[in-house]
Amino acid sequence: MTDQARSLLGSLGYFLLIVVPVLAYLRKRAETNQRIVRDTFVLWILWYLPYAPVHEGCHFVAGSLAGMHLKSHQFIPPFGGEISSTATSPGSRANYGRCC
Amino acid sequence: MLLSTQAPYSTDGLIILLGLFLFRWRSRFTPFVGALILTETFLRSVYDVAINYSLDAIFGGVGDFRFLLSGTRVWPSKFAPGSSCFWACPARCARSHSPSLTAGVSADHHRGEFASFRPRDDAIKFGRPGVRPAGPKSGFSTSSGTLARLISYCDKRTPWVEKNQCSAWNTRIYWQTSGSAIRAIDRWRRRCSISGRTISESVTETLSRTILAP
Repeated sequence: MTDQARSLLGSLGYFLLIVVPVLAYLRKRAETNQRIVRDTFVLWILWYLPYAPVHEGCHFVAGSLAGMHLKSHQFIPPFGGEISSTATSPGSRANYGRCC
Repeated sequence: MLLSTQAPYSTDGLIILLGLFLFRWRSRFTPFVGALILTETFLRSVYDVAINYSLDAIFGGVGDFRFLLSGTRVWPSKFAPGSSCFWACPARCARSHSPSLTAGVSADHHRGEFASFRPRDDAIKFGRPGVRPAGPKSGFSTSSGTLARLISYCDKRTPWVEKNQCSAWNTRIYWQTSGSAIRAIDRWRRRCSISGRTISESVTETLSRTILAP
């Protein structure tokens, strides 16, 4: 499964598991359509920005507490590139997960 | 690794409890704040578990749930040492492939698994490629030396990497576990033995002679 396919499924899951319930909630609270559209967009940003950093941050905190050593990370989803990654060890990123 | 992998999902449980607390604390939020709390607590946690589980368990992803459901202690990558004969019996594995490894050239068989294994760097430390390293005088000495080099190389140069990954958005962190070489030796000791001496003794001796000695 390619990265694009996984991102597509993630987006579909976002729509089904988050957008639909939020729309139902906002409609139940008698919001206008204009405000629903605005709130949905703002909520998407507020949900998306901390989602991956919180997820990977939990891995990082727990792993650090367990005595593991971080070699590299990608806390922010790569959009066409891996500009947010940091390789902290010598050697190319291509080596990770390939050797052994 | 298990603690690190399950941490986000334990946090999801705590976040749900936080959402429950918030809704019990204030029964009436503005629509936007209510939707925000709903999104960031309940729905976010449900999404986190559901999407990672489905992508790994149903669509064959290699994220956190792949590891959690695998029942193994190491990341179940096809490139992991546990993938092939490597863990089954290192002596046999090394004997099968030692001509390439001891010659300092990655075999085609290992081109995928050990694609980044480039013994030429180790030649400085262990001698020229193709020259049999000084090892214990046993039938497995060459294998032990080769395995010791492999341990050292993987542990120090391109370490055995374990990975946590969020399947949906391809965010991930890579870990190097500090005791990988020690665990490898322990595992080998359980699975292999050499008449008169265990392979761990051979490997340890070779390690101490070639790596640990100044």
